[in-house]
Amino acid sequence: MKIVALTSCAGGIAHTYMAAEALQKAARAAGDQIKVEIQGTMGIENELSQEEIEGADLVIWVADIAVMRAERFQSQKVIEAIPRDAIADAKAVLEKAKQEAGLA
Amino acid sequence: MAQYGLRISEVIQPETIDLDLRGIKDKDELIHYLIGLLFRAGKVRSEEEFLQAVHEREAMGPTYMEHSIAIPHGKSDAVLQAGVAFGRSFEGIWYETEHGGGLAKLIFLLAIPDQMSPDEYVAVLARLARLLVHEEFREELYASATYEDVIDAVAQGESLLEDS
Repeated sequence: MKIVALTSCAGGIAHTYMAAEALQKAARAAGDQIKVEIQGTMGIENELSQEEIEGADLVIWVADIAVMRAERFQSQKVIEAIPRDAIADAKAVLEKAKQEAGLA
Repeated sequence: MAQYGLRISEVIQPETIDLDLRGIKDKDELIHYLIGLLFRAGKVRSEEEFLQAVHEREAMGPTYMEHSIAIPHGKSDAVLQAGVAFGRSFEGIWYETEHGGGLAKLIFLLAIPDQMSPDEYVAVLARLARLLVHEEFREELYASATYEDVIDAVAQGESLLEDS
């Protein structure tokens, strides 16, 4: 499955990156493709293109603050999660997101 | 990912590591103790001033990171040279945050000089944070007996990073 995600947190640093790393690790373990955009103190890193967003089977926002450039996601159903949960158990967050999206 | 100007293994020094924290009863004592290590290693000019920077950062959001990890940090002109203090506590030290906190067993305190560019600063923190997601890396840290073991774990851990 093709997954796109973005991570963002209030501090803009540690949780954002940890959540991104954890999601990548869990997705890889599950045999999924994933690209994670990081919205942190340095702005947007690893930015998702409109094509990537529209071509994804599953779109997840892992954020506890407002998402930047949210209009890119208008045409997609977005599943939301919080960074702390993704860090604690990214596998469970992905599984839950798949269920919510009707993919599991 | 971007190039990292500053490597974690270069900023952790033998005198800024304590692999067996004892007699520390709470988060305040913990941060105080780790700042003391940085001060004695010549990384910070003033313990009080740096403590203030750490508190300011704590007020912005929790630095307890799940999996018994805490990454308090501060950017201040009281920091003479970038440094990382690493403390390990097998029984854990209660680390209070606005989300309830947790028992911290692996604690990294980062001291960031004021004049360091934001990108460099974030890159160091981000790299450490990403490393700590990996259970294999955390296990190496728990198994480390010496400073060299910790440095080896950090160096080897870099190969675990998803994007590297």
